[in-house]
Amino acid sequence: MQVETVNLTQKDRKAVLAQMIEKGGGNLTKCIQCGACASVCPVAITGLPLYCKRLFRFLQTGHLEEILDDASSWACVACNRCTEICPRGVDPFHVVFAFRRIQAQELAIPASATTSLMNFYTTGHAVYGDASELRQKVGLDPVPPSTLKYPEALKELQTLLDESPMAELGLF
Amino acid sequence: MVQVGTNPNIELLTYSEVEEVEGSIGNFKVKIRKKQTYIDWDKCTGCGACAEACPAKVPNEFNAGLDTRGAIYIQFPQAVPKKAVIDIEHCLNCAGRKIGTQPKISKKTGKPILAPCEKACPAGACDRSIAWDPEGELIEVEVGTIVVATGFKVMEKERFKEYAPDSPNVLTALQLERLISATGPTGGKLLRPSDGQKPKVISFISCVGSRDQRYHTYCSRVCCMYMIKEARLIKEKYPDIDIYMHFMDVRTPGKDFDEYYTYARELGINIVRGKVGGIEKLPGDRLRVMGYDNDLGKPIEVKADMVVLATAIELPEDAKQLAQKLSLPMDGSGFFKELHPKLKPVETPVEGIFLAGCCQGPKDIPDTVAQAKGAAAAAAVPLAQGKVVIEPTISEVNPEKCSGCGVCVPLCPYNAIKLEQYGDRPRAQIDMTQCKGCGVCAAACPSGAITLHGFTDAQIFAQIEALTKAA
Repeated sequence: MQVETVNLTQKDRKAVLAQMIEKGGGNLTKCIQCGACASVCPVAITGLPLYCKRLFRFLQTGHLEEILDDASSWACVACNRCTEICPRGVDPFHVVFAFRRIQAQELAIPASATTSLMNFYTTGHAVYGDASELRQKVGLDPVPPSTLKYPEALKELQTLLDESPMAELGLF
Repeated sequence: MVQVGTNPNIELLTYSEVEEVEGSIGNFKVKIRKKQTYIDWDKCTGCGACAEACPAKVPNEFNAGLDTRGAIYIQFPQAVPKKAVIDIEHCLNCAGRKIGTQPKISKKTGKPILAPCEKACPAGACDRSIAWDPEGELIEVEVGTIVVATGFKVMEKERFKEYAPDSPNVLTALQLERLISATGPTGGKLLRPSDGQKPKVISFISCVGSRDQRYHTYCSRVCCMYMIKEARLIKEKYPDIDIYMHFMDVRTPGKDFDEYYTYARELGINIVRGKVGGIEKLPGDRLRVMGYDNDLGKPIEVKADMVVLATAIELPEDAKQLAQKLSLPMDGSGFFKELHPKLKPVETPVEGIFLAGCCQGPKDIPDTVAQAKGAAAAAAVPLAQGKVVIEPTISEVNPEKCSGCGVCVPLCPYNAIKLEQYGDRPRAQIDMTQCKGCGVCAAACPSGAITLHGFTDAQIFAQIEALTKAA
């Protein structure tokens, strides 16, 4: 384990906070680092390095570039246990999602998330696999009654996505 | 407390409640209801025989609900005065002995059939044939000054769903305090409630309901120290018990306090900085404490036999009712508000009423004693002097102009205005000692009969003129 000293005065805390506020993560300043969120966070318990509490500390101390490529935030399952127990009203889930928006803007999106997004655009399902055989086996229509069956619904969804900020990422 | 009970200059009214307070400094009239005890206190010797005989089972408030008491009981062994009372709501009226009825006569023996409490009392203090008035007795005392010292309560564990409150092995710190007390439910033996076994691992959790936007934003101030005290008492008596203390921050300011904490570390008590996010119940009545270690930078887990929650200090509901009776304001945290946080810490906006102890804000015993002595001294000053100095900028009613409409009476935040007969009709009158010169009445008076001295229309116009005059 290697430890290096951080020169805090060289960090531009204001710029990082401004970005976070712009993306809806202004509650970052309310966090007092008590650790309650991390004690129940699935991201932390599965062993990923940048779970809510640590992520907030990095951001509070002006680290952004260093952590931009870390994929931990994409493992947040939005269970909201953090929001339920946070004693300071930080709403950690929303702050994590604000960080994700910065990551997405910088195209720091892990492959798993890119694939899900592209699947969503092309099929209407973020998680997509061919289940037609299984469905037939249990007596169901091989094509589920979703965007897969109704191309006009898929068209509507694609129109919505094309109009959203996600289109700017150029993934689809 | 014993000294207070025996001091000839102090009249102690226990089991009593303030019903109404009227008047102002020097002349307060306080109506006090002495609740009905159903026991002749002149005869009761406090032997406790009745309490032992009573078959009723009521959660024992003094032991924080960890055991039961009878319907006839003495609140705790050191109670002053040490006298029994009947909790009539829970009384079973054994042998059909409702209060105020004559006993049935036994056909066999020809003697009256008495309730167990009556039979047990060797002093004849418990006589259920007497028609005691359930309303008790209403007395009125005249006092010059008042010191409010309601004390506090701690939050119940049921409010905290994330900490498995339904487990009997999750205790509040006050419950633990009773559990390790020689006069407590186990006679001082540390046994966990679910199975009466000695716990091997105990977790303490701080800031439960304190420093928390969902409950109270303030720090309850005493929890860090009493948790360390309880942990040390346990560790010194049973060094084999593993103790974990989960703190948000360790706050031990005060003389000798930090040394006390440091020694807890030396004793081998595990101090963990990081708040606990959840507790899960495990088989065998154990508990999984899901915490975080800020210094390790990792989530942690403790499998505990018992968990102690340091729940927040707050004021009981009836303290708020008392505040209304005294016209005292509360602050944003729900405590009685002092007149000035630095310069008038025991005074209140109502002249002649003072504060002491936790009713003004969470504090420990040394601070409470210091503040109580301050409040007692402050309350004695006007009594000794026999006069009070009042502010010159207060309001006054011109009775000739007053129509007696009464609009001002409910508006006054200090209860200073009353309608009193003047000439042919009642007209407003302002008590000079109670008025604080806020000016609400003067602004509201439709007849322009109230003047706020120092702020008359003429004076304000003159100020405007001076300010707007071309240089």
